[in-house]
Amino acid sequence: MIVSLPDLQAVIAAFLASAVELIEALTIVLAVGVSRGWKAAFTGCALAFIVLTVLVVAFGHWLSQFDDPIFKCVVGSLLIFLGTRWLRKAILRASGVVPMHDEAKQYVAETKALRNASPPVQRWDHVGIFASFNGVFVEGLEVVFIVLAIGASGTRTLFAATGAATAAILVVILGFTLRQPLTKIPENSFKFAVGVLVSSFGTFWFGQGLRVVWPAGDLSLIALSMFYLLAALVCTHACRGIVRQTLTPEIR
Amino acid sequence: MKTSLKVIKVSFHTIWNLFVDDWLSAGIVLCVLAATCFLRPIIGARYCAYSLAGGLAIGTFIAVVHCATKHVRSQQK
Repeated sequence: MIVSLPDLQAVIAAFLASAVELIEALTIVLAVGVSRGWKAAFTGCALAFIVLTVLVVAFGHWLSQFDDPIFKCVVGSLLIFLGTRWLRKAILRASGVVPMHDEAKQYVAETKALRNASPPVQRWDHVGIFASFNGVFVEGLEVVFIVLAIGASGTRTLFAATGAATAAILVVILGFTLRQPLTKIPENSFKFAVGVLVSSFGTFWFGQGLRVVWPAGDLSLIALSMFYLLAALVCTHACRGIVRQTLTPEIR
Repeated sequence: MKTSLKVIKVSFHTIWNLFVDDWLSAGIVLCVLAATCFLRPIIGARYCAYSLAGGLAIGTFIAVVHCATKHVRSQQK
């Protein structure tokens, strides 16, 4: 099997998106484990993984059978919405407009909230199981969408799923080993990259749905990524300027 | 009945928030996509590709700068 550059791009997009979302999910699972017990944390986590896997298998097979231009337009536009949302958030954080996402802070807040919740009275701690399930499911849903959408408009489901699975294994191993939130990982840089890659995939497929002629075929994905990366860097620079301009009178 | 309605509402919100969390950005993206569909027969397939990517990049720039200005002003108050 020959792996092309766009295939590699699909692996990287799915890997980074999964890593970011699973790091956030891990924080919630750890908070549930510490405050409500590991049984509830693992049960909720396992249930969410089962539901997410069923979604990927069921929808993945169903979606791969479509080769309709309208379908490509719909999937492409959804990817553009998702990608630009990630990119906007990452730009605002990178430029200092919005504070960076702090896993340690979230962990403390989650642990406190879960400890204050009603204590487990039944054999199964519903509060703990639901919190763990909700954390993993909500964070994982975005990954499932990215994997499905990347795979749906081409033959890259396997590549995207491989990227996502690798990230899941790595995060689970790190979580088990360290038993604390993963604060050292440059989450915002990952988000920045995912925003750029997902927006590129979305633009490419929306264009294909419209029967647009991409100058270099599949390789246009690389050019699109470079173009969006440049645009995002210009945006970050502009936002830094806004922050500086607003703060300068106060410093004086 | 009430619980299932609540579950549907929460699920819908979760999925909705995946794609739209800021109306201006979503509106700009939608306008660019609609304009591309409209312009496709006029400007041709090749230029349509460039206008789609360019439109989205400019749209993202406008949305981000607007968000940043709004946020910084609200922080000042």
